[in-house]
Amino acid sequence: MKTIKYLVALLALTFGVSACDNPGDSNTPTDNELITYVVVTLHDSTNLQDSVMLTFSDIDGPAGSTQPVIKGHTLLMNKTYIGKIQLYQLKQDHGDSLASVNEEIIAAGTAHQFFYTPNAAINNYVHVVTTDKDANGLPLGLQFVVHTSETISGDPASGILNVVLSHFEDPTQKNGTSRSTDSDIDIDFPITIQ
Amino acid sequence: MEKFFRCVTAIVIVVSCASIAYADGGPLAQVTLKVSGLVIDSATREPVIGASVVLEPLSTGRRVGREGRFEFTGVRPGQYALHVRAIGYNDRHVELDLKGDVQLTITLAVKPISGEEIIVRPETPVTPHGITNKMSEDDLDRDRGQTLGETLEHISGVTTLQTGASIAKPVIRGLHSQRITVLNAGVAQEGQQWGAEHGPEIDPFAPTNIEVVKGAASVEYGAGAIGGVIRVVPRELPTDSIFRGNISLNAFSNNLQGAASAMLEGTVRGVSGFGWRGQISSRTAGDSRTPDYVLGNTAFKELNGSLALGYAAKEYGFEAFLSHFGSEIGIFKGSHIGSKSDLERVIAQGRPSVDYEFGYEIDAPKQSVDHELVSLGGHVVLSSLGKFEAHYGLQHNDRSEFETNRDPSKPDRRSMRLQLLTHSFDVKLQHKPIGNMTGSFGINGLRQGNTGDGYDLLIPNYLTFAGGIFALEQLGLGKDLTLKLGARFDHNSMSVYALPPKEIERNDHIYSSASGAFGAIYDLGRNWSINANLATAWRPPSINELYSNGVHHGSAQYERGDNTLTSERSINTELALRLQTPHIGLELTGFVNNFDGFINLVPQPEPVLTVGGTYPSFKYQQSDARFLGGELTVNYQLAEELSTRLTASVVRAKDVKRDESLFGIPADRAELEIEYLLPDWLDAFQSSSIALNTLAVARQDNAPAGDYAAPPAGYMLLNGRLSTHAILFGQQLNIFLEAHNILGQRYRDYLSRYRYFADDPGRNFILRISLPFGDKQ
Repeated sequence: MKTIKYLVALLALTFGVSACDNPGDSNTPTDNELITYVVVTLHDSTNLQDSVMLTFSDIDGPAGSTQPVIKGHTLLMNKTYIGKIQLYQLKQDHGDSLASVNEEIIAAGTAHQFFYTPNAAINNYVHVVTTDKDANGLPLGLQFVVHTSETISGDPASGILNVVLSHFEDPTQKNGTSRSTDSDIDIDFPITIQ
Repeated sequence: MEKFFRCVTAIVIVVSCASIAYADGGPLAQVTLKVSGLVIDSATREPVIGASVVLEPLSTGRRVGREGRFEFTGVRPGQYALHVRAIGYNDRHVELDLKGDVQLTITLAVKPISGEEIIVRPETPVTPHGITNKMSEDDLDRDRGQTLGETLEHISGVTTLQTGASIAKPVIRGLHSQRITVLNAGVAQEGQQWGAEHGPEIDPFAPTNIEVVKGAASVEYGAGAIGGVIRVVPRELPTDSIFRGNISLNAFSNNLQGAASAMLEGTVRGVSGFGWRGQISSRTAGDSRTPDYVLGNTAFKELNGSLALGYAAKEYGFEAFLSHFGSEIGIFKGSHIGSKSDLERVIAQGRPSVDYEFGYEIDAPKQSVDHELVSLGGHVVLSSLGKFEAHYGLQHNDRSEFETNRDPSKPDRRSMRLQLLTHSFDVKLQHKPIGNMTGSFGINGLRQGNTGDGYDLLIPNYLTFAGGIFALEQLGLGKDLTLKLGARFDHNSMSVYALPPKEIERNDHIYSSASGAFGAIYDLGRNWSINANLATAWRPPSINELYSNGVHHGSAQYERGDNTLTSERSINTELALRLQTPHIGLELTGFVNNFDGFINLVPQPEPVLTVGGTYPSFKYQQSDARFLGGELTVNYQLAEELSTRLTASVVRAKDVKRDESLFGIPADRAELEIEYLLPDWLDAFQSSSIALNTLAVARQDNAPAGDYAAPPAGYMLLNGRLSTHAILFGQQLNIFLEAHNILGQRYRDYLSRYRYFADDPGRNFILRISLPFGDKQ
């Protein structure tokens, strides 16, 4: 009797799977959480109207035909900039509109942290301090302050500001100082200090 | 003193239980008989030392020693069969109606050097352990519950591409995935084999026999078999009135895995020739552990089942086989990196950055795979033509992969789901001998459709129609020489509905070509024989080679397909030298496999920029490649109770055009095993043996430049095994205790997909108990 049941089930399955076999059908797009647009805005602390933007955009993802674009900027020596970062993803099911993911990061703040690391060429003149905290009181980094100082020679210096968003699957792994090995973003912005 | 007393008590208890068990079986049980005899060569009348004699259905085995003798005692009257096997000889099957003690003289005939399979199976031993003197039943029981890849690893020239404890892809002479065909119940397995972390969907507990063909076998098995074939053959169904079963329990110490399987088989009263078998198995494993840390999220679960029905009459028969394979496998969290700099930091650290805790939970990243197979077959013997066989196969493969959510409190996201549905049929005629010529010809066809959804599709949707026609003949010339000749033509047409999902754009690909094979076997006399094979095979580019486009997490490289790729062709030459004497079995093989248009991932000068950083870019390109190598297997019977086995294999693979070694080729390796047969103890523990095994793997010094991490150092592992067939309380129990990596060696294998991130697993003790029950015959 069981045998018959199993046979019936398999037969049903056979028809079931045949029904879904239409390779020409369109695939259902789902939310892939792929970040396609990143903006770092730096406001001059002495004149908040004055701001510069660092941007990353790759509107169709790495598989698309459009090449990603990274735009850096020039920062002035001996300044303090008040910075914020905004992340956007493409919502394919909402008419290809851009949606901010900052709220999501704030909600899951204990599982994330931004790291801003100037490379060797400029790390003596650029210092970044994050100013916001997650629910556990550890740094988050959506908001931060950038201090620039004068170069030794007084000449402009060019380098890279690396921005990483570390993802901590288990919030107990986050200690406020170490990156995880699962980065959501990892972008090098070219920076010149003058 | 107390210890001694306890020991004596234990022995007394065991002995009394055993005697009670014997006495308990009714009046007949008190009659125990002896089956003994001599195994000799039919021509020389010399003893065939090392032959194995298995008494069915008790499944107890004996190995024939110097004198050529074997003996079974304590056997009850009834119907039995003796299976006698020895390397280089034809198997013998002797039916016994046991009423009193018997003494037999079993003659074995030297295997004719022409076997039906030789042209495509170049002198390859057809048991899973190569040339071996071990009991085949023991061998299969011993590895029951291991993955298919691990079971095959004992064969020289076969290694595995490992992703944790549960995914092991077989690699034959450096080739794997699309270049290997796995034949399950007569049907070529059509699973989602697009990545190195996609394992073959085969139930490790299924009651099967396994054969491996090294080298191109395209004439019989089609265009995919360019690198070799693995045949998983369900055991024959019972035909005589019978009802029996087997329960098997396994426990693994490393990942605290428990596995169980149950099998029942029988016949239907009143319907002679009708047999059935049902089988179900399940495994649950926690995270694997290296000697120093836990590999977080490497737990897995499996639930498999199969049902076989068959009817066999004298001139015709049919069989139906249904199976389901279902697994859920966690992917090591420490191998899921977000950017190239993450990978570089993990490699620099030398160990995972997180101390994971052991557990059975399977979180994202993970994969879940279901595979259903329906195989229907029949044969009829027509006296005028020969044996006519037909097979139909239906397979459905459903693979989903999951990733973590940005917000860990939200459920895991399914990044993709691929469903592959395949219909296939084969028709074959094994014609009656025409003079000295025997052989077969046939046709086969396939329809395959793949549909996917998700945002991270590895491959686009496609629909394939393929067909082939072949002939394979064998000609005996005189006493010493046999020739084999085969040819095949295949046609393959594929429609691809290209990515991205919203703009469906159809691309048609058509490939067709011929395969051929020629082989000769010559008996050199004095137990030596030589076999030479020349085969040409081809395969169309696979869908991932044509259309991949994305970052491969875990290897941190951007992979791009090329839809202008053409077919790849190989010309494979191999030579095997074989010696078979009563004490020594030796096989030495060498091969040269030349590929024209070999499809391979080649590094590109321009990196790819993504939100996760810059990735080195790779593209599937065609080049010419040469694979060179050889294998050695030696079995040496030192004494009646003591035998050794040595296997070694070497592969060198090179992109000839770019003059560079190929990536991911197994390192040189050798394995030495010493087995000692223990004397029977109290009639309760029979055919016991203890074995020690050392595996030595060299560093891969022929790796191409540009890898993120240099190939890991060579390593040596010590393994051990104790096995016995116990009869306790009248119940037979086969007990195997195995220890892997006894010394808890820290090592990384070059073919482990986790080698950038973590060590390979440490010490593992495995206990297997199998319990046959039901009718003896």
